[in-house]
Amino acid sequence: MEEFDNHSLFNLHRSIIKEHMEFLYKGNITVDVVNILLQIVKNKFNEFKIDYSLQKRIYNIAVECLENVSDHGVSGSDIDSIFLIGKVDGVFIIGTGNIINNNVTNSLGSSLNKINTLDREGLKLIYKEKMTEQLGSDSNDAGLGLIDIALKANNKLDYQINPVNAGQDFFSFQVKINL
Amino acid sequence: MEVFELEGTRYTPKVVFDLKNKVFEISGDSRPEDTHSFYQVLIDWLGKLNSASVHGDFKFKFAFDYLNSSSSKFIFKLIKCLKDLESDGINFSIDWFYDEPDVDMKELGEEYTELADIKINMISVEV
Repeated sequence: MEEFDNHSLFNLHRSIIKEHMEFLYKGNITVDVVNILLQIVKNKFNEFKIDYSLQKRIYNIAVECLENVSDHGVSGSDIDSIFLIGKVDGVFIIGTGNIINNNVTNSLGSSLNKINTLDREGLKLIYKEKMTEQLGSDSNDAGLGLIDIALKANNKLDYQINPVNAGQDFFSFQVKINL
Repeated sequence: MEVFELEGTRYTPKVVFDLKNKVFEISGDSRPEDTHSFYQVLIDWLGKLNSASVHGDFKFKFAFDYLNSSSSKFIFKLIKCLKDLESDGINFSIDWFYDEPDVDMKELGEEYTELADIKINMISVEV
């Protein structure tokens, strides 16, 4: 393993500034960690003087993104997840990155692609359809999270899936909210 | 089963089901770790009501600060349960409180009205 020296620390600092990252976490995203990260999101609201209705939307998006990682991400010591908060030119960014088993890659990708083809009315329609479909189900996963994120962000959802080994992919997800 | 109460936490809403005073309330934040377990208890409790055992008009107040998408699914189930009780002759006057700038919370209440085909009074609260 390559050693971590002061120069790489300098480079990391430069990249964080260049990429407009306001906060970056790498580690397991457990239920307890979710609560801490949500508090950090709330602290950023004051720092950036974000108005009340947008605060609610961003908080909502952050919860759904973090719950997606804690519920669906594959955790393990060498395959930690990441969570970031960014802000650039009037846009607030919530980003997550986590390992997924590649047997879910296709369905996740097609769900996101479908969501990205829909306008607000289309999203509302599938949200209601999903809600009705789910009436008989006891699963905690309502399948509503990504639709909800798209509705509240009012922007297309950015994602990328990169293979990391034979059975697993890395899922990078970014939600942009115009301030 | 006169009164059923749960204290609110950072992740779960406060719940008061008070048969004696005919007032029901769910309020606060809702993102339980196990949403199904949390709400099934409430749905089961309501499911035991019937017109032979309870009489009169009841008030049901929803006042969420925040609810995650998983909770919104189970709240819909709970509202459908209220609709079934209505068919059985137990009438609930349902109030959906939302902070005035929180358009999303308002729209969610309106969606429940449409999806469950039930009257829900939308009440905005100034912040």
